Amino acid sequence: MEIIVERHDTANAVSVKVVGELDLYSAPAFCKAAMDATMEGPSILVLDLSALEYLDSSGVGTIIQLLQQARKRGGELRVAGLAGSALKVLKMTNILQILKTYPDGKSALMQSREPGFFPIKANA
Amino acid sequence: MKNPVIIRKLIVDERNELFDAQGMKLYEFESDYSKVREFTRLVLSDCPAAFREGNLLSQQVSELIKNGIKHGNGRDRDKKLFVWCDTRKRVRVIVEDEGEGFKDLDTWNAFYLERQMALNEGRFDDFLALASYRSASSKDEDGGNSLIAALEYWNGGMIYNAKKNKVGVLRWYAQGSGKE
Repeated sequence: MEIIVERHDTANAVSVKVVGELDLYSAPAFCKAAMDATMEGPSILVLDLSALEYLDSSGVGTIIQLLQQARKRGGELRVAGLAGSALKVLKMTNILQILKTYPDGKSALMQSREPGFFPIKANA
Repeated sequence: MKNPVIIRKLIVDERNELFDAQGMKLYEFESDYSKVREFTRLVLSDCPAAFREGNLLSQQVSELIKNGIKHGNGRDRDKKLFVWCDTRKRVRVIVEDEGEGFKDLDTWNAFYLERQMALNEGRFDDFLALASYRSASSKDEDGGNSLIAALEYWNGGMIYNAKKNKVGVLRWYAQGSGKE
């Protein structure tokens, strides 16, 4: 797994891209990298998963932790480039419903912050 | 009108047909946590491509093996993990560990009910707090969501034996394996 961190000061955001597999072995390192990336205060964390080849429950758990952390610090988590089995795993765990998703990293960075933390309404 | 809430449950049924291992291949593994993905590849080595759904099947079987080695056997290398697999007309897997069994099964079912109700009622902060299952023995790196996906994925059933150290699962495919 490779992790690419990019700061986007004008958008008050940081993007973290995963290349490869996010599984029981690599998830802890990814979680630390993503949490460290938001330590200095960017409000928006963009997870770019367009090059993600495999996602398991440990990876999903990491996404949940990052969402919980974003909620706690008043920030926002955006997930970009979801496709394939990673998308299906997030659907099966019902986590997809509470994620703000974007087709790619660029569109995730372009949108300004919207009021409200969660993207959907009850029973949608 | 609100959509109905579908709440699945982990079920115990010692005599369930999902534990009939006749005709299934048996694999015996040591509880080596570093080899979970490797064991999964071995178990699914002759699985038809039509059943794999990208790497979704591999991910789901990997979760069963991981749970057996990590939570069941507590990564004790002296304890074995037994995996039976049949991928001829559908995918059927049985995983048995040598641990004390999944004692939290009823607690987990109660957790899952509460989680799904929170989601259905739009209590998203509650849902987010319940997004991962946490028990006294949970570690930070535990995803806490593998059973949630498993209940959805194994559409032919997911059953535990009475001791709760053995799980049988089945996935059906509408189109078959593509093999004659």
